Amino acid sequence: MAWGRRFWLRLQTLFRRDQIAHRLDDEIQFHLDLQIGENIAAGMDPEAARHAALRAFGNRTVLKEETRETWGWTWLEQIGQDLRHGARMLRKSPVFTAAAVLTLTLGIGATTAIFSVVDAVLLRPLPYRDPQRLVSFFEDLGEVGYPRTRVSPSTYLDLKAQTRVFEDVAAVNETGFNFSRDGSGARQLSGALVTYNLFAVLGSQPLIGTGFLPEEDRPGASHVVLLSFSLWQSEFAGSARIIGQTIRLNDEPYTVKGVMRPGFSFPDKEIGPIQVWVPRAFTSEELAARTARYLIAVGRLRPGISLTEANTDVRVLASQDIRQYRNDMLGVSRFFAEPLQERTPTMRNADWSC
Amino acid sequence: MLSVDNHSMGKPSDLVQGTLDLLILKTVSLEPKHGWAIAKRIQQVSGEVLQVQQGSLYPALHRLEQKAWIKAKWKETETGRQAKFYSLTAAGRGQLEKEAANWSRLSEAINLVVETT
Repeated sequence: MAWGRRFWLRLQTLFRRDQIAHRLDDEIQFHLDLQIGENIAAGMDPEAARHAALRAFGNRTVLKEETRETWGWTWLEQIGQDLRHGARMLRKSPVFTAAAVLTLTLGIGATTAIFSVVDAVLLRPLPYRDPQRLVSFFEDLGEVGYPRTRVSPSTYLDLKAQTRVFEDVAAVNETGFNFSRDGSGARQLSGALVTYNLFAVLGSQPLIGTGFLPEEDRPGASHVVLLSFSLWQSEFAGSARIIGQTIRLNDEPYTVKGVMRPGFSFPDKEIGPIQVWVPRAFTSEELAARTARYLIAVGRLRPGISLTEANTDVRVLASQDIRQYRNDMLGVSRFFAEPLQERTPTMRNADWSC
Repeated sequence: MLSVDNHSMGKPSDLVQGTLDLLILKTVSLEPKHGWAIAKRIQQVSGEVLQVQQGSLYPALHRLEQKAWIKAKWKETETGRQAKFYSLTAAGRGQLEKEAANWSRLSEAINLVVETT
């Protein structure tokens, strides 16, 4: 079991180094004392006996050093010495130390902060299926100062018709709901009005229950709602019996169809996570208002279709749109698609960019 | 280091590296000994020809201990003091046989060269 003994000794020399060094001193002192005793017995006076013993032994400092080296871990010991030396030097010049620490703190802090933003906005994949195939749409009204506005309902329908390049396109806009239960005080919920296909386009199905049906985003359809995971937890104690129950939003009954997964909050915005999703039905007046640009449109590219290719079709659409509707108002207007970002543009800050 | 007390030259010459290991292994193979006793034993048995610089034993002893060829134990001596006694392990016995055989071959070879006329 030679390797077992070796391993044990290595552990000892690593973790009980001081004790072992102390015992080496004892070992050497014992040796010297015996030699001095022998020299005295041979007739030397004590002082001469001591000198002779030391001479016969050799340079104790060097020999101890050589012995320590046989224990291994010398490299670790040297790193420790270097660190201690460094700490002493830093203590001696506090101004330099403070400047160095401040520089490092600011540097690391700034780098971390920038990376966090870049990671959240650019690097971390979106929590959706095949997120690289998701795009969001904008209208470029650069001539009047809005290079990245949202799109109008009619534009949304036009984009949805581009089935050569898009599997499907969904639209959503934010709204607020007054929510009340059992006669207790109402509270404001942040909600989203969505086309029925939003969850299919994103590839995020409800955790429990089902998504919306095609007939549910038409005028006159019965009221239905999907809840966020956190609302379900806080207001309904996470009970699965919530499915099929009725809750009151803006004093009207809505049937709960399902609960979304934790963290799902499209369209995520600075104002806070969305708590309820309700299908939206476009009225004919809404569809006619081609300049009411309040919709976030999100599309899923067909497999194998590149963003550039999709944008070619979108631009053709834009030029038709200009010819038919806008040539009197704006010289240049065009639509374009971009990879979907975590955060979607707000209405007011139309030229939001990252 | 280990030196041969070379009276004709007046100055000891160093022995080859590894020889000290062999001498230590052989010396502790009979019974456990502490460092000073090992140094004395080597001097006495060699008829005072081999002079161990006493301190140089300790790096060698600790190296052999780390290789698990010898093991050490703190024990009381006749005078009542604690001393570190070294003895041979099973692995050390194997090493001793190997080094002794090597030494025999080497010294025979040198003898052959030196005595061939």
